[in-house]
Amino acid sequence: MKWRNVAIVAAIILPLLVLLAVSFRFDPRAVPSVLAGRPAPACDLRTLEGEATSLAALRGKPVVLNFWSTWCVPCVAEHALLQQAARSWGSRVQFVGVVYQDEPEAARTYLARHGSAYLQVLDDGSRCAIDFGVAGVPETFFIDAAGVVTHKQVGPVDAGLLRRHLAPLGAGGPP
Amino acid sequence: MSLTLPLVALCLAQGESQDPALVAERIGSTLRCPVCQGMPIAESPSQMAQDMMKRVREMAAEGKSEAEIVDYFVGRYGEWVQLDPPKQGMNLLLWILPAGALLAGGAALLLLLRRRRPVPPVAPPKVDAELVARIRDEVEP
Repeated sequence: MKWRNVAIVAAIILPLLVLLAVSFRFDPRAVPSVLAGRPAPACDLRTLEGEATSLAALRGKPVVLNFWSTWCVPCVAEHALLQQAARSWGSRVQFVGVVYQDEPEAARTYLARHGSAYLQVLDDGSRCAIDFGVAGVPETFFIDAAGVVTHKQVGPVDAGLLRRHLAPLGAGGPP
Repeated sequence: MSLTLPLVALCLAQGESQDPALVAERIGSTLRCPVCQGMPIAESPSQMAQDMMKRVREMAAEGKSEAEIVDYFVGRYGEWVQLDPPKQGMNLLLWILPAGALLAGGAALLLLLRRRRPVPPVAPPKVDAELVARIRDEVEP
């Protein structure tokens, strides 16, 4: 009789524990990406110099689209890595930095200090960020030459991740 | 009274307003602000939420339907962006589990109560009549 009670209580508690254990593996604040495998939004953007440009205009080679801002701490280290990567991959990959929720002037000052080795653009009214479902910075999207999103990275990228996600896009490795 | 009732009925029958500003507010109160904690974009003061609200208002002003606008955001942020998850797929568990747990708990309680045997009544202890008389003599003056 006693063992039966133990079995009943275990039968109730064990599934709950499993549910709890599984649930703890998910970050409730992580926004799932639904864009992977779908065409990237066209995104009308503006360069820091005020010239109109768009993502659609950049088709033809793989694009690494990085949303960042001057108030984002992890973006500082990531910016240095992306600059290095942009120099290494050269003309085989188009790196693009999108200034997210920030003042253009702050971005200009920041880039003057930290360097600007790749295309930097402004996103008026966060239209492009909303089109990409951006929920914070840094977030990086890998887009193939045909304009299809292949991967979304939430949080800073590292060199290994860049290599892993650029290789299948036909970008080869960094020289 | 005779006038107000039909008026109320008319308002109810018309249902939700089609005024784009009100449609936008209504949609904004169901969409989750991505940079907040469980807050709708209509209520969040964050710049991102306000930019999203602006987009909702633009789309409502263009004459897009509520479903089209919600689909636009779901297509970018996933179902996650809806504060009230749609009643389908795994989400149904949210509705089924509590009711199921309540039923199972009730059934278990019922079983337990039924199985509990009534406690046999306790017979009063037998007391010697002589003893009672002696106690009475001592206690009563």
